[in-house]
Amino acid sequence: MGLLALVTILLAGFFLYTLVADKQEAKTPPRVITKLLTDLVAAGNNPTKRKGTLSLCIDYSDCATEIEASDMQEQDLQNFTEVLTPRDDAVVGDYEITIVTDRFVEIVLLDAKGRPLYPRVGLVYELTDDGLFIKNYTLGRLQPFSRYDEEYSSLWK
Amino acid sequence: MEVKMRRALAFVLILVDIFLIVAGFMLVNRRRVTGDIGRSAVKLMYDFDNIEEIPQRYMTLSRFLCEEDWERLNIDNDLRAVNTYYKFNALQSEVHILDSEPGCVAYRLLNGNIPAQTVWFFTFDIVDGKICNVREYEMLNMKYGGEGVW
Repeated sequence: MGLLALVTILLAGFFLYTLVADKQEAKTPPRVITKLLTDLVAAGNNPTKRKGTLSLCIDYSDCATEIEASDMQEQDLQNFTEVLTPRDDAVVGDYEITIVTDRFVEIVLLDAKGRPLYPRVGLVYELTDDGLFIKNYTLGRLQPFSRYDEEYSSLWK
Repeated sequence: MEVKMRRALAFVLILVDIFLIVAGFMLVNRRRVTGDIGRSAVKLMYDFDNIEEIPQRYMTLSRFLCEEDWERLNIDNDLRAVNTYYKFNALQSEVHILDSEPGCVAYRLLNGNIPAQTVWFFTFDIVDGKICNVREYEMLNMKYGGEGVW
């Protein structure tokens, strides 16, 4: 009887653990990701402020010299500026994260009135061991499938 | 009386154990299936020896997709072939899965007309066992000096 009770407790523990792990899929993005996006949007089109934000959020510790780090920041600035600039050059006032997985966030840019500015942006990231900096990233934009994609419909009129 | 009580309690515990085993198995299996269905969908769309296979592959794909997304992804709809398959230049294509988790698949396309370093990222929801709200990203910009996350 005691053994049966022990087995039940163990099974219940395993079941609860699985259930909790399943529910945890509604994740929140790491703080460094939200800081990066918030500060980049707040910096507007000011490249100096944007580079400052990048230097606080992206890990450049593997750069041998300051010149190398500066070159990397310049390239990162171009990468982020490209995807954070909407198609019609509208001014980005805010952003919203719409999908969060272990290493990916989907971002919708918003104008000053909170209206979405398409296309969406995808960011895959890898953090440093302490989670404070972005060690590596890959950025991209949402691709259209067909004319049924409302976000691209204006292009096909 | 006490023996009857113990037997009844043991019976209840056995029933609880059976329930926990079945429910736990179903939970674990659901996670596995969610990952598998995304990988299958990507391979059905983009892994082919020649473009004549594509319509048949889409018939299989239709079983995985909800109705709205079938409208969007259906190979016969307006601009779908142009938007997606023009870049393959009618050449053989192979999908190389880099990573997947429930709701997303990262992959490269091995095709003579598509840069091999480009990472594609496919995201989706599962509603009633079917793939819905499909999105696909072309991940082009990566950290300078690196090769991106993969």
